[in-house]
Amino acid sequence: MSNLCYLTIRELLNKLKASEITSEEVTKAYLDRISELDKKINSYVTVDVEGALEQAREADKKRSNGDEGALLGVPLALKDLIVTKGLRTTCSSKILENFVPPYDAFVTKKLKEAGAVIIGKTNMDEFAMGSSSETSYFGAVRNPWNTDKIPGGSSGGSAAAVSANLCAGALGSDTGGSIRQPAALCGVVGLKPTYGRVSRFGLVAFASSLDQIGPMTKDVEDAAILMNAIAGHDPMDSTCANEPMPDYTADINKGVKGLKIGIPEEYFTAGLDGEIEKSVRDNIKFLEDDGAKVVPVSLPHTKYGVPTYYVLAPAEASSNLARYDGVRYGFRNKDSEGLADMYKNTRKDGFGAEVKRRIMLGTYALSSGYYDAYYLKAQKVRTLIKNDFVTAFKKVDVIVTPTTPTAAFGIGEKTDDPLEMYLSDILTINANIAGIPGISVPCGFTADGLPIGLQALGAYFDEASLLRVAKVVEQKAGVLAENPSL
Amino acid sequence: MKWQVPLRKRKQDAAGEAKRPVIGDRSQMSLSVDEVRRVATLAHLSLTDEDEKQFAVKLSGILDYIDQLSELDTSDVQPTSHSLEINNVFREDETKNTFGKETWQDNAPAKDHGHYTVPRVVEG
Repeated sequence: MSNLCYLTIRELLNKLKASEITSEEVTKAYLDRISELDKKINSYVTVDVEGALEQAREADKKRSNGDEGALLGVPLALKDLIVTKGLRTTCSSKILENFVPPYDAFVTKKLKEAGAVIIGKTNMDEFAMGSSSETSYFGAVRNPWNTDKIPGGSSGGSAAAVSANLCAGALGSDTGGSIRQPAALCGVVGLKPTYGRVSRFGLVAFASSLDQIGPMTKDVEDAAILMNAIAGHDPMDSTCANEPMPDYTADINKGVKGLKIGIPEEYFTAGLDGEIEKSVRDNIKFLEDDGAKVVPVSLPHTKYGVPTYYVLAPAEASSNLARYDGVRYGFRNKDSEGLADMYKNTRKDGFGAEVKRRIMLGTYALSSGYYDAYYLKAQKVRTLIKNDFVTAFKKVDVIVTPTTPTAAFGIGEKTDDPLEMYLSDILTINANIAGIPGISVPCGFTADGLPIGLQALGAYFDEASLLRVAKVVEQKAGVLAENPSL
Repeated sequence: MKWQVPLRKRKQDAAGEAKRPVIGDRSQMSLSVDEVRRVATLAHLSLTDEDEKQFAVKLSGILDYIDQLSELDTSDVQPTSHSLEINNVFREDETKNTFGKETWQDNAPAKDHGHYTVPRVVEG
């Protein structure tokens, strides 16, 4: 029954509603597929076999009693930094290897209320710090299209699981591109909502002013369906916006006629791979053919995004990760003599190299005498980057760019050079700095058969326009029907 | 990759002038091992000798890259801490959705009679 695993969320819901299949059948099909194929991909840290089957049977019972929950019986996976009551949540770190949260994140609660089946927790870069999903304590994730390649990161497990049809859909989190970049490299749809659109309550914090949870799905409509379930105001997150909630599925088939689409030349510079540029430009032509007005825009501070991010994100991370001290939860080094030694040795043994690097960088940037030179300076450049977008969105509705400068690179290729790794987020990072929404949609393949992603960026809280653009690309590019062979 | 680390022109120190640090004005070309140790102490991280050397090299490379921010004149720019203009959000301080101490302490690496236990703090 493996073909059940290829259904989109919408298709699955239709079959569940028509009583053609049960949630137990489809959940079992996914669990079988995971046990057969995930050893090649390593997309899951934890698979909740018993819990998933129990939730599925419960969903079937509810449906037979007339319940019509928006995601009733749909098996989903969550990135392993979204807390799940009673189900281990590790952030792919040794320091949280055995952490079992006593509560659900806001998004977990919303998905459960909608009737979703939480099938497991997906692998990721440790504490979401990375662009390749290689820094996980539980081993690297592999790209389903070519298992010698990285899947992108940090939500590489979610992207790979969706791409390899090991779940119906997933949630990821995006701090500098961690939803959109792996979505592009694995050939799935990934949406980073506006900062504040989705509650961060129960999202293990990396960089609190940049982090945002979003859907990673097989198609654009599924992303809209998951947004309907997870977005909205939550009083438990004081940065969660109290804005009206649209029905994100309402306008996705409206096309792009009348939309003004901006093309920033700063995103089509010399480092962009030629195949990617061609594919994205071809798709821009499709959008024009469909009635969009395409105009050039300028985002002059684009190149300062990565250096700004690598002050702000490590600074916030060094503060957020101070809580891992071996006292209240998580790993503890048990051979330490005194309290101070216990803190230091716990953090030495519990964190991986990249996490330590960022803690060091952030601590340095915030240390006495350096605050103005680094953190304050970066916050000021943040204003300039944000203003670039504010100015551009006075002229256009949506900005279209490539999601990544290259297709998936090789496992191990960039692990020795952090800066090279950081630069793979160069096209996604500014959306986080400005807080605007962005989507990546598959738009083609390289000659080597690796997926290419097109990114659409929107004005604050205008996810709806992004979904419209992505839907047109999805239809015109015609890559949706392709699946990796495993 | 064409997005390369820019070659940075380092400013000459104005003779004898004590000034606040600015980006690109670190006194050495690379972060010294001593400076790495100072930061590790602040971060409560113990590092091996090898780590210290590695961090000195790799963090210096990243800081050099960050130095390109100094090209921008930001003297009249207000800092942005949050992308959205959210002001203080207040609510009543009510107890809800809470659990007992035992639930929270289920994850504790060491506990005794409802307390978290840690290694000795003061030599006695």
